[in-house]
Amino acid sequence: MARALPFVPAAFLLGLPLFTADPYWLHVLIMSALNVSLALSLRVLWNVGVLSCGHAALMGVGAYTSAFLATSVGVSPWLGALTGSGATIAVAVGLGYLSLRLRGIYFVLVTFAFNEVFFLVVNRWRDVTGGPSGLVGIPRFPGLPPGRVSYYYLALGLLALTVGVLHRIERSRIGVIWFAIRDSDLRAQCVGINVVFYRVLAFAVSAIFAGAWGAFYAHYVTVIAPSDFTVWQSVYVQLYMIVGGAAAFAGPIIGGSVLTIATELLRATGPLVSVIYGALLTLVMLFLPGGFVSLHTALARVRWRPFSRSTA
Amino acid sequence: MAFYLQIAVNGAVISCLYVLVALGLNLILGIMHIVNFAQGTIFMLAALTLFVFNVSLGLNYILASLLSVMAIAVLGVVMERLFFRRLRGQFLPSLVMSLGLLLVIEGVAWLNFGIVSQAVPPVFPGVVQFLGASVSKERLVIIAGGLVLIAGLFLFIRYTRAGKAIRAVEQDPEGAVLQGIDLDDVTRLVFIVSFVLTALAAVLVAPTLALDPSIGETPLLKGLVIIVLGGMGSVTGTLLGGLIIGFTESIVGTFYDPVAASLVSGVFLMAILIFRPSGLLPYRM
Amino acid sequence: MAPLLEIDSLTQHFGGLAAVVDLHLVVGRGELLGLIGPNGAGKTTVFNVISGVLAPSGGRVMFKGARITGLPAYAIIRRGLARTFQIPTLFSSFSVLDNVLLGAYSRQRPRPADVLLGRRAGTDGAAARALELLKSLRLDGFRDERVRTLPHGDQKKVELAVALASRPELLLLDEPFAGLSADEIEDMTGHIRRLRGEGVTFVVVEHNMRALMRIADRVCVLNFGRKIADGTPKEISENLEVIRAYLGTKRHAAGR
Repeated sequence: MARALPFVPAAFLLGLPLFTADPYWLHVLIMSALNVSLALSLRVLWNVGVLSCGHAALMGVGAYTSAFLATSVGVSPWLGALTGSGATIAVAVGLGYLSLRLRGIYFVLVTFAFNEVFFLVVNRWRDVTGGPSGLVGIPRFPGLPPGRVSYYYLALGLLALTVGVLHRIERSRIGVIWFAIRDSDLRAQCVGINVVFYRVLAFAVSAIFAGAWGAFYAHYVTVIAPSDFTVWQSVYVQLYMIVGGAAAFAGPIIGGSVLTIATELLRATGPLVSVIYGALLTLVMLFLPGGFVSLHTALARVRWRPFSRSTA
Repeated sequence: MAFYLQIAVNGAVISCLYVLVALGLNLILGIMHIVNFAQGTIFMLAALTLFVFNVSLGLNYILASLLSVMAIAVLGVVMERLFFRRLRGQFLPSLVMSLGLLLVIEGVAWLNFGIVSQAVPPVFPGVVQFLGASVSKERLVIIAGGLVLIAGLFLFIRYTRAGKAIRAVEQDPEGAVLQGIDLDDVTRLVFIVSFVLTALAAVLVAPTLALDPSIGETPLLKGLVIIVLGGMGSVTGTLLGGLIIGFTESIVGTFYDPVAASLVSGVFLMAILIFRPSGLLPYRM
Repeated sequence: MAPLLEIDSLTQHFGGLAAVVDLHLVVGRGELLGLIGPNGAGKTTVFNVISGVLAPSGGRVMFKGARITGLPAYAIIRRGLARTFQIPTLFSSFSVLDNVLLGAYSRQRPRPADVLLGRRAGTDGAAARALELLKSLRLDGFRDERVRTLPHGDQKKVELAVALASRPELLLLDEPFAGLSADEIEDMTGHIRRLRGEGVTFVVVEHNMRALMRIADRVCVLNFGRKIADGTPKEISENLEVIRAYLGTKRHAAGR
């Protein structure tokens, strides 16, 4: 029964365009797929015990690489997307190797700085990135039937790939070793696990999906700018993961889709989105540290004492 | 000569601003083991409150500054009580929560303040001629005010009862509690001191800034760079880190441009984290 | 043939503090060496250096005739050396079986095929061997329990099982009897004896002298990082006055 559960939403999503071809809602669903995938890939790092503030920059590496190759060199977006993912892995492995000794706040800060540096670099490197106004006129993926429905199915396929691969890795030996490293770094070394290798591997796996979705994004919206990949975008990805519940595989899926769709339903824009997201994040950290997926256990033992003294 | 003096004055102004924000961050970090990403929005709120009192309500600068700083102190008490006290010592949840607070505060500010940047009229207009360079009085006031505040914090931490309690908790929380120090009192105090320091920095430099809700982001970022550079929890390290970052930025900003200056501090931060994560000076308050 | 483990003029400083000073130690194949000394004598530091958790300030460690100082911990473990910790530091959110499986992974490389085919971790031969190991330690009843829910004595046995899962030739035990009841000590002693029969070499750090003297071939005494005595349990016991002077507490001399 439980194994069949994922097929219900899958069938629903597959059949949806038969009933509605409203481009606005297809767009919302495409963005949900993007956000879910980013949050899921960020969780790979969370599984080895670190929180990254640089996910948007990794996505940006994929997006800019593919967009630059397509606009300036004339490489096919399909090939460009592959190259973009590869470039993202290279950046992540480099950053991972340098920063892998760091944990906790140090890792948060180094990725935070990485995202800032990326933002400043794309702002300045006008010849390649177009500077603050970004790259425009990025070609769409060739060979797809025109219209948004084809992009909807492409996003759905990429989402299925992301979910499938990440789920399998997590349940494989590699996933078990990742969790072991999160539990105890020292202990993992002392049962013969090459902690450095597995941490960098986690970084690479996380990055490949960020890069691939970045390239997808570039060839979908056809305009990218530095402001699409700021550190605050990285914080939003953290938010999808944490508000959904980072402990469970389903957490980022729920967080990413619910928050993206809810934002659209509220027709919230700009600052209002950030107020709503920020408030949610604050409240979840205070009252529901396990995120949405822990709601049923949390409700089972409701203790609404918002003004009680803290107990350490 | 005049050219270099200009760079030096600039560096000193930037250093003062960043050091004050970094000291605020470092106090909270040392006592509560919380990195408060919302500290930059406190800076922004103080500057915008000053604008409201000074320009919208027409109060004079000194009175408006006082009211603004007092409002921020109250906010510090409220935020400590409602949010941060509950996650004291829980580094990751508190960090994520402070990111949430940052989004809320900045978002609310955008909704209320609008996107057109505003200005507080200069308080000390005019320039002084000094060794052939013309230096605005406003900048000299900032440097003087910054030095007074930094010295004040030093004396407070070192010689007052409250300051000693803060140091005691920073060094040995359990021991301090056994000595009869109330941890909640100390954390409330730390939030007030930290927020007031940041607010004073904001009202001091506000007349030289174009005000909009994003002005807190740079001081936050630079404050983080400085506490990492100087060593987390170290006050002297913060001073040293602030001078390094302030002058680097002034020099790079003069010879290239401000974006290059920020780029340099970003790369600096990554390099320090990667090669010397304990900072330049060892951990000591 | 070279001894299994050879420690040569090992020195370890922490800042100004010398934790281990010019230590020489040789462990032959099949031997059980006891390592004793008061708290802070440097016993755990020696373990940390041997297992690669710490890089020594000076000196070298040879294992099976090859130098292992400077190698990362995981590489040393893969050469056939394993250790337990004083306080059980198991993967607390994992089941007993998963902990043991992790111990076994060091001897096998992950195969990409396992990932691509989505093969659940622990479905291969390793699981069968891990179960056998648990059975031999009479832990098979707890295989699916989370380790943090187990009583202390069983956690110590799981520690042993995790270390054994990598099929070590040399096993470093850090206070295997600490916190155990008399029955549990008896049980643990039995397992150590059985493993020696299977050819495993041991270095054991222990404060419980009576239990240690019963199983050790040779005992080495450390004080302030220096070796002050090395001999058979009998010699060391007869040297009791000296030891009392160094250990300073009646508890150790009386052997509880």
